[in-house]
Amino acid sequence: MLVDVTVPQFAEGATRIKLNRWLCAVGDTVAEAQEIAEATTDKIAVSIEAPCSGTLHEIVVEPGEAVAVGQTIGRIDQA
Amino acid sequence: MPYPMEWIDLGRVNYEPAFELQLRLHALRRADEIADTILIQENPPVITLGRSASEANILAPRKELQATGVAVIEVSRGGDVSYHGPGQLVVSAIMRLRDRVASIHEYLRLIEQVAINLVAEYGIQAERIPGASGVWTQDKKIAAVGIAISHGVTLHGLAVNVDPDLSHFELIRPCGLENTGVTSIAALTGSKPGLPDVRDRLLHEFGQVFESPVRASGVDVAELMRRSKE
Repeated sequence: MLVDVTVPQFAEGATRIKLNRWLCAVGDTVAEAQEIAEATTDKIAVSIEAPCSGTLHEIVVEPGEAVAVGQTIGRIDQA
Repeated sequence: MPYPMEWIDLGRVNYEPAFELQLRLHALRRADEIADTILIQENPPVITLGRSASEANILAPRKELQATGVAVIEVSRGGDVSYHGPGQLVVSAIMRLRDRVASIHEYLRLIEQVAINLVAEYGIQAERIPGASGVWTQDKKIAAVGIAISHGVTLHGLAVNVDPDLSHFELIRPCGLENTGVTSIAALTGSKPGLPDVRDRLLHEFGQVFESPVRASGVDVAELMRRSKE
């Protein structure tokens, strides 16, 4: 089953959120709560953690792109 | 009863071991082994690059930096380039966000408020400027703000210019902003408050703004620093 990786709700209210980088690649095995990506605003760096264990199936948002709270940035094939 | 906050003052310490300690405290906070913790330090001259940093915002040649003893380090906070050095109070807050606030935006606003209230204690009226990070007075930055959140627990925080060598800020373009200056409590008031005095007022303001009791931490810092070297 594919599970969405989303920009966390606690980033609500932050402006100009950008996906800064992925810390893993498609095909990598990830563990639940592992930091797999990082978003930034002009003042805040936000770690994005895997919602479940599995394999990174797809990267939806590339580094440098703007993102919004709740937006799907990738998908994990749940183990 | 609100959750208490605890504080640790490292005194003057190199940025890197203090950052390792901060990561240790972050892991302990995540594991619920310690309370929310405010880590205070003063650093020898260092330029830190945040996650959005552009090398172009370091204006001085690396050779010049080496000659003047200024280190350059990449760090995990948000934001661009910052300078830290003697006379500046560097404050990191390791807090579980959801216990305190609804959003990272609200947290940022509160951290800025701590800085605004702190400098007000010295008769300085400071404010936020839309689109620019930090706390400003008369179009000059008096406190820098840069935070990170990982696993719901915050890192980094703010740096308050108490009485730093302001010429050192000319080595960088602070936060990537053009034509902006920095100032300090000493430059604006003509008096040099001691860092312990500023620290005590800062902790008071943390307590007020976050509506929490603030107490000294019982964490064995020496032991933690020893372990973080391993």
